[in-house]
Amino acid sequence: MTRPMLPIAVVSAATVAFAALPALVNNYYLSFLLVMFMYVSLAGSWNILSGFAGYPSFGHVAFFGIGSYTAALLITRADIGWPIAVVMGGLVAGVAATLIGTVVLRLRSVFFAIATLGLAESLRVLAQSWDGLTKGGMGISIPPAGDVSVFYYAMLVTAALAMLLNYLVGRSDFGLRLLAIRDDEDAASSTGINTTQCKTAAFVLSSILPGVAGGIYAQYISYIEPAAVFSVLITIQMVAMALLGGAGTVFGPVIGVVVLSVIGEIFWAKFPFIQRGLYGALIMLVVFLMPGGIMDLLQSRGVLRRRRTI
Amino acid sequence: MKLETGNGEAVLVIEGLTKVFGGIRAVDGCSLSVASGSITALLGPNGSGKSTFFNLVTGIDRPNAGSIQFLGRKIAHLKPYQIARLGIGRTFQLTRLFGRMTVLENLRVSDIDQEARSDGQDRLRDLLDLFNLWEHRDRYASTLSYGQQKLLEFARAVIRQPRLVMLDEPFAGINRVMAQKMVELIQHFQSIGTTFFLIDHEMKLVMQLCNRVHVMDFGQIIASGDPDQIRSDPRVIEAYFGR
Repeated sequence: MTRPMLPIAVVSAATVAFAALPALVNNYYLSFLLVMFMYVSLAGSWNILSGFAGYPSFGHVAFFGIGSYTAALLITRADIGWPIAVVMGGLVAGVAATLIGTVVLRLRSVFFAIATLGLAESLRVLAQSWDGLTKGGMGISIPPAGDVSVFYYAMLVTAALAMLLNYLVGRSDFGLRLLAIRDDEDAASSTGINTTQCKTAAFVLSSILPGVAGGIYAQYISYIEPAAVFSVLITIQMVAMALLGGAGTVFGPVIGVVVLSVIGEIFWAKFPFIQRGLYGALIMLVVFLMPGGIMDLLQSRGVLRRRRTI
Repeated sequence: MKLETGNGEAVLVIEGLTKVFGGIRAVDGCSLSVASGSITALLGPNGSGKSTFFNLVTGIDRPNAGSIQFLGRKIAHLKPYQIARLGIGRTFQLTRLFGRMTVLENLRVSDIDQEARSDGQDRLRDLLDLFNLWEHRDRYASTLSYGQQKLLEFARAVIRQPRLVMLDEPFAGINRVMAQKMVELIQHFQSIGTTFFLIDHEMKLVMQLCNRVHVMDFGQIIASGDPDQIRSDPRVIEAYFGR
């Protein structure tokens, strides 16, 4: 097997193994894994824009929320089947990213971060106050459709697609251009790279799967409200997971998701009253002690080779 | 207005170029031209506006007034990548490499829009050989010595085979051997038709290397001519050493 095919083979094998799980484990584990796959989709997507291109989005939950509401509205008002509604959620998130990107991608670094944070909060307020469409703070109830394993599979596919997307970007010339933008955007532009086009493409690519994940989540939970699906905590989670694993690497975000999901679950079980505080302290420690994340640590210790495709 | 180029057809013609930052006129109504195939220098004391001038020509900054023509086309409104694709390569005063990418990737990323990719790898190897960097191809750019970083940035500036290469202080901070290598490379690329426009403070090298010299002070061009004329120009002597 050629080296470039190895990561695809590993992900494919893991996907097949996870596909067999619903027959073997109970709903608690399935729900835990479903949420973990959701964060693989979110952190992996965030990584395209913020890890590869270095544009730190603190409002990526906006696309998750857009996907959730699009799917919920299509299911409840247009009577469209949830799989199609979920796909539409991803597409609407992509269209929204195209429009939003033309404005916010003019900003850089902390200004971009603040603008995206403001965007997500604005959308939350919009969803909260647009009673006629979203039912405001009352939220939208969605008729249940299928058991947890159905949504487990849907989220598994979304997570696998997010990883595949990262892998393809990581080994492409497009990915190389994003890394150049991350290191020095002016220099990248001076070498002939159309940075605006690359950033917009990255922004759109990083928005679609969060939209899909939002749609699946909405149908799985059967109820959404603005505070839940536009929550800044979701953004913080995806950012922390990607940073812990290694932003700008292909497999870093998924490693971060697994580690933080397991630790978060342990904190929740052992220290239910202070688990958020512990979680926050852990994130601070990660940022201070491992700014390059687990992947960087493994690569600097020689455990892993430094390659753009891992 | 016809601008004096020294000799040859002008690849770059700049007229009345002005850039104001707050109350400071960093570039103040500058006009000059760069002849095809020449090595032209832009000299001046620190803070005289030379790097701002380069940033205006390459689209990093937008001018407040004036025109910039490259090969007869107005480029002042274009973005840096459009200007690069028209055929202007550049380096920066402080090297601005893609530090977390390898030497090879630093060149590949600048070469990926080239239509002819069939000889891409050979071209990269030839270029890196020329710059004595092939053996360092898999090292991260940030781990190279400063001199090697200067060479790599120069290589990146010529990878797209531009008509004009603008070098911002190519000899600054490097040893004599590396400076000599830089001179040889500039002469090599000039011999195959590349035009150079450079900024530096290394007077001896600049005067040996360049066909034509422009001197800036307080944002204005105060003298233009061949190296001998510039050496004896009282305005230049005053700008550098005071009255």
